[in-house]
Amino acid sequence: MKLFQEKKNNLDEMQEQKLLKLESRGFWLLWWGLLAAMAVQLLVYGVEAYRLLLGEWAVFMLSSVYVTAACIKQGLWDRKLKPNFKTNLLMSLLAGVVSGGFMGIYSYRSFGAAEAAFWTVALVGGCTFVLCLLALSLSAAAYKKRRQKLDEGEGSEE
Amino acid sequence: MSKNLRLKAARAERDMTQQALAEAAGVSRQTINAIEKGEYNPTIRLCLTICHALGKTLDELFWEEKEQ
Repeated sequence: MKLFQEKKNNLDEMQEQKLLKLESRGFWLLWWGLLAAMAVQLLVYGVEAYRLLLGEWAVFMLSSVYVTAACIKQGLWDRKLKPNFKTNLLMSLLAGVVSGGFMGIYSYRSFGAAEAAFWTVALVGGCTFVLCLLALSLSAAAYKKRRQKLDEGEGSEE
Repeated sequence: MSKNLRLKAARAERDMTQQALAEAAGVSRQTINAIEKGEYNPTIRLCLTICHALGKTLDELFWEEKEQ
């Protein structure tokens, strides 16, 4: 690690910023692309996809957890969204509707039963909503605590 | 962001090319060009390096009056 840190950066500050922007776009392209690819594979391969998607899912979760944890550590939240209950509720609702709807389609395609699809929507949508709200609430609380610590910590006004 | 004509003038005053200033400041010519064209907002550290290379102050090269 020290070896990498000691190496001279060939880029100047503008080039570095441009590269960071490109890498950021690349990351989000991969993130959304991976999510879309997993969704499509789930629809195409059905139950079999769960085994096939293990690697993709692990990479997806690892990158998501890393970004979330690193952002909280640096006291960063979203550029536009606020870490309050109303926003968390709305985002969780959106996640619940999207995942519930998707799994409803998946269930209907796999088993062809409308009632089962309805209960899948309700169960997956409901669970996603609750879990998302819980995760967002915990993350927001951790962010606020960290933000406060950083604001009160080193370099505070004398 | 508007063009930085003062930087361009200060560079010309010293008979320096963009490449020469870039080498003195330790950045690429592309970066100096972008600063002069107002396409890139440099950090204070780079502003100071450029000022030192051209023998000018921050005010002389980078100060902008507040827009009304």
